[in-house]
Amino acid sequence: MTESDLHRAAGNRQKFSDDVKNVASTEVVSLQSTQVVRDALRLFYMNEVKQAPVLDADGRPVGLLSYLDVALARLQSDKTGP
Amino acid sequence: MKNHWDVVILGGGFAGLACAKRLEQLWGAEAAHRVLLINAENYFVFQPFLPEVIGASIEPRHVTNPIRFVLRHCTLMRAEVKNISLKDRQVTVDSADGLDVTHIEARQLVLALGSSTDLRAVPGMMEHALFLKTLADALSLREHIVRRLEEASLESNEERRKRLLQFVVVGGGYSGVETAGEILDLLHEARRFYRTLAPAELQVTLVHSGPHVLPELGEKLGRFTKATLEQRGMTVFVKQRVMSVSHDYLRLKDGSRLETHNVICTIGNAPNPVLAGLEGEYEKGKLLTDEWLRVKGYRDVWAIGDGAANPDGYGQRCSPTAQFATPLGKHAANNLVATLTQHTLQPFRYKMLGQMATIGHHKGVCSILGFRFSGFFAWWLTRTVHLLKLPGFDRKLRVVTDWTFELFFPPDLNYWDLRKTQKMARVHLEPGDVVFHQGERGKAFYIVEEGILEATRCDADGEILWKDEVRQGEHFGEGSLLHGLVRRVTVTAKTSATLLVFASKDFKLFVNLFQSLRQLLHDSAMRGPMEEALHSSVWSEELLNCPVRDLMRSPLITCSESSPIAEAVQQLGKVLRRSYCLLAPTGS
Ligand SMILES: Cc1cc2nc3c(=O)[nH]c(=O)nc-3n(C[C@H](O)[C@H](O)[C@H](O)COP(=O)(O)OP(=O)(O)OC[C@H]3O[C@@H](n4cnc5c(N)ncnc54)[C@H](O)[C@@H]3O)c2cc1C
Repeated sequence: MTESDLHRAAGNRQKFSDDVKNVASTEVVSLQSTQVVRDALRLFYMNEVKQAPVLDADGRPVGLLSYLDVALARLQSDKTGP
Repeated sequence: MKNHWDVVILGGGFAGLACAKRLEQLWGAEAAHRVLLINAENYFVFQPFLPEVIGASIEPRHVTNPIRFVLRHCTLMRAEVKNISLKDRQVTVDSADGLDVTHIEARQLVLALGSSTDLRAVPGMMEHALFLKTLADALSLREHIVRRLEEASLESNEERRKRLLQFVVVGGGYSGVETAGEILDLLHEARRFYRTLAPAELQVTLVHSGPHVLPELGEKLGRFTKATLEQRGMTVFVKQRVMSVSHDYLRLKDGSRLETHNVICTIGNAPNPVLAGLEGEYEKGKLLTDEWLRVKGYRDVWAIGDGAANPDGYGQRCSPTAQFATPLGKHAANNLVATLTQHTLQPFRYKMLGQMATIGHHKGVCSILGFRFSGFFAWWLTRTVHLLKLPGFDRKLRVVTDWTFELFFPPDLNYWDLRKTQKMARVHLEPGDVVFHQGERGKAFYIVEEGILEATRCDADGEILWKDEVRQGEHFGEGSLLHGLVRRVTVTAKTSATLLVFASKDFKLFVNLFQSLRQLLHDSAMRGPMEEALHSSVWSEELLNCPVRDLMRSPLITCSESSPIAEAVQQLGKVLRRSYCLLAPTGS
C-alpha cells in the first residue's frame, strides 16, 4: 500500500473507514532477498516503480527496498570510500 | 457462374487474349457460354508501351484496355488462379482475396499465364530494385523518378544528391534499352523545371552482361545503340554484371561500386509460380509443349506464350515476345476446336518478321527480314507497328493524341504518392552499411530477417561507450518511435543482412492497437537506456552487486487486509514515510 494508493482512494471518494484491501495495489512486483542491487534497479526501471517488497525463500515479505535506499547507500559509500 | 466450361483460358495477356478472340471468330455468340477467360486484372496491358509510360509519353490508362471491350462474347472472370490440375483440367481460383475459392472444370484448358520475375540470385535486387512488368511497376517507376528529382532539388549534401540522381538500368535487352532511353528523355525534358540541378548531375547508366546490347538485333545494331546512347550522355557497361544491390549502391562483377538509390531491373524472367510443379515436362522452368502446342502428355491441355516452351516449327523455341504470343494464341484456338470437332491438328510454324526497339530521343533500331537499319525512320516504324498492334480503336486514338501532345508540351511531372499503402518493406544491407546514425530522428522500426548488425553508442567525443549485436529475429529502432526521441545508437551491418522495415506511421498505427505488443516493445525500448544507466559511473560495481537484503528496510510495518484505511494512514504517519505500509497477503 502506497501513498499513491491513498491518493487514488481519495480520488474515488472512498471513505477512510473502508478496508485497506479495497485500495491497496494488488499487482505488486517484488524482489528476492538473495537478489542484488543491479536486479533491483532493473526491476525499478522496467516497471517504472520506485520501491518493491523483498520476499524471503518462502515468499514472505521481509523488507522493502526503494530507489532512495540505493541512492543513500551510494552517498554513504562516497563518504566512507577512498 | 457455372463451373463447367468447354474452354477455360488462364491469362488475358497477348497469348490468352488472341486465343479467346480467335474462338469468338469461330464460334460467334456461342462463345459466351462455352469460353471462360480468367485473368488477375479486368484489363489487358500492352507491355511494349510500358517504357513510354515511364517517359510520360503515354498516359498510363492508354496502354491498357478493358478485356470486356476487347472480347465481345467470351465470359471474363477477374480472379487469381491458385491451383491447376492438368490431369482433371481443374482450376482453383480466388476471386475475393482469399474469401471466395471456386473450382472450375474445363474440357479444354489453355495455360497462358505469362512469366514472373525472380531475382533472388542477386542479393538485394528483389528488395531494392524497381521492375517493369506490370502497369503498377511502370507507374511507380515514373513516380519514383519524379520524386527523386524533388528530393534532389532540396538536398544540399553532394554525395546524397549524386545517389538520388543516378539511375541504373540493369539489362540491355529490349525493355532495358527502351527504359533507359525513356528515362534519359524524361530527365532531359524535366531538367529545366529543376533549376538547382546541374545537367551533369543527372546520370543514367545501363548495365548489360553480354558483349553488346540488344543481342536479338545483332552486333552492328547493338554497337549503334550503345554509341547513340553514349553520345546522349548515358554510361553503358557491357560484359558487366550486378552482383549485389543495397540501399545506397550496387556492386558490379569487377568489384566496383555504383552509388545510387535507383536501380531499375529488367532482367530475371522466371516461370509463373502457378505453373511450377505441375505434372508436366519442363524446359528451363517452362512447360514444354509438342508442335501442336499441347502440354506434353496431355490431349486437352494447351500452354502458350511466355510461360511455355513452344517449338517454333523451325527447330527453335519461340522467343518470349508478344510477336510470338499472338500467333501462338490463335493457333492454340484453332487446334483445340479441331480437337473438339475431331479434325486434324496443324503443327505451329512461325518465323519472326523482324525486331525493333526505340532507344529514346526519336531514334530506333530495326531488323526486318534481314534488313537492319536505325535512326528516325526506325523509331517511327517501331512506334507505328506497336500502335497498329494495340487492341482497340479508341486506345489507338488516345495514344496518338498523347504522342501529339508530347510534341508540344513538357512531360507531366505530377508526383502522386502511390506508395502510401505500402506497409512494410525489405532492405538488403552489405557489411558496413549504416541503417541509421546516433542523433538522427527515428523514421522506422526494424526486424532482422537475416544477418548480424551492430549497435554502437558513442559519447560526444566519438568514444565508444558500448556496443551490442542484433541478430536474426531480433528487432531495433522502437525506442525513438515510441518516445519521440532521437536515435541513441548507430546501427551498422556486420554481415550482409536483410531487414523488414516498418515506417513510423504504420508502426504506430499497429502498436497503438496491439496493446500487448506495445508493452513488449516498450519494455525492450527501456532495456537499452536502463543497461546504460547501470553501466554509468553513478553506481559502483560493489554497490550493484550488494544483496538487496543488506539495504532493505525491515522490519516491515504491516497491517491486516481488513483494517480500515485510517489505520494505514496513521501507521504511515508515525514513521513519516510515504509508502512503507505493506499489506501482508495472509494477514499475518
Ligand atoms: C517492358 C516490356 C516491353 C516489351 N516490349 C516488347 C516488344 O516491343 N515486342 C514484343 O514482341 N514483345 C515485347 N515484350 C514481351 C511481351 O510483352 C511478352 O512476350 C508478352 O506479353 C507475353 O504474352 P503472354 O500472354 O505469354 O503473357 P502476358 O502478356 O504477361 O499475360 C499473362 C497474363 O496472365 C495473368 N496472370 C498471371 N498470373 C495469373 C494468375 N495467377 N491468375 C490470374 N491471372 C494471372 C497476368 O495478369 C497477365 O494478364 C515486352 C515486355 C515487357 C515487360
